[in-house]
Amino acid sequence: MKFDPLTNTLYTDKGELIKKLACPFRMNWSELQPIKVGVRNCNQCNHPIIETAIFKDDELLEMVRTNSNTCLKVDLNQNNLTIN
Amino acid sequence: MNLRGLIKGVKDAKSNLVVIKTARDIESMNKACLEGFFPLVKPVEPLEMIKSKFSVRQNQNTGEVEMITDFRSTLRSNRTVYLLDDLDEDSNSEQPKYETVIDWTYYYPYQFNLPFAAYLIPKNLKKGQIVFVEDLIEDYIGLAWNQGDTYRLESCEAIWTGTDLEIQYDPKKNISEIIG
Repeated sequence: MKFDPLTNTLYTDKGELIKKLACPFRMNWSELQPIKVGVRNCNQCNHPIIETAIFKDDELLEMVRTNSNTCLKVDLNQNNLTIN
Repeated sequence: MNLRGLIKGVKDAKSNLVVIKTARDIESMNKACLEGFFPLVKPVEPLEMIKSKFSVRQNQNTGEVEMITDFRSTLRSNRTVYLLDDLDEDSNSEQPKYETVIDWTYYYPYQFNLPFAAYLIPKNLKKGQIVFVEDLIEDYIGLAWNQGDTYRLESCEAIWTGTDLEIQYDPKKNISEIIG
């Protein structure tokens, strides 16, 4: 997947929009409650947050399309990401 | 109140903060005055530590150019060329011949219309009130990449002192990750 840090937008490797990341609360991943592997709960909005490092592009697209409230966590240094 | 209740209270308050808008052109600043806001004018000063890198390659056959921002992209491309070279020397002539025309260069990646901007302060804001600044004028590092690129923090909480906004930037936060 690709991430544009100037617009905080995540794309698939093919350039399809996955999500524009916009959260005013600056949540810390390490402080969130794990639900299952790669998924944590945000108490602020009661949304699941997905660890994008362990999912494939099409899996993330499916999750976001199924539940548009799904939030994503991106680390600029994760292996499956290129920065645009 | 127990700790859980205290944290919930803080988070509830956080979601109800007054949002401070930013005007980045004079027309918006003056229009806000008529609507009861005070434009708190600040210079737009790029922080030297905020920088992004790029390199440009050009196809020597067609002239097409390609911008690269990730060191790994170069490694992958070079590796592909080497592998093809190893397989068949004749096929090499049909592969795009890219040449670096601008080597890795760091630059400030943001552009603003004016060299100043203004926070639009509501007249009824109380001294000591915590607010949410939606579009920071000042540069703080919001994201950092281990390849050396750093990016602006877009928004942050602040405290209104009565004359200024004290930005509540937390330098200890993990700045390689973003959630949203």
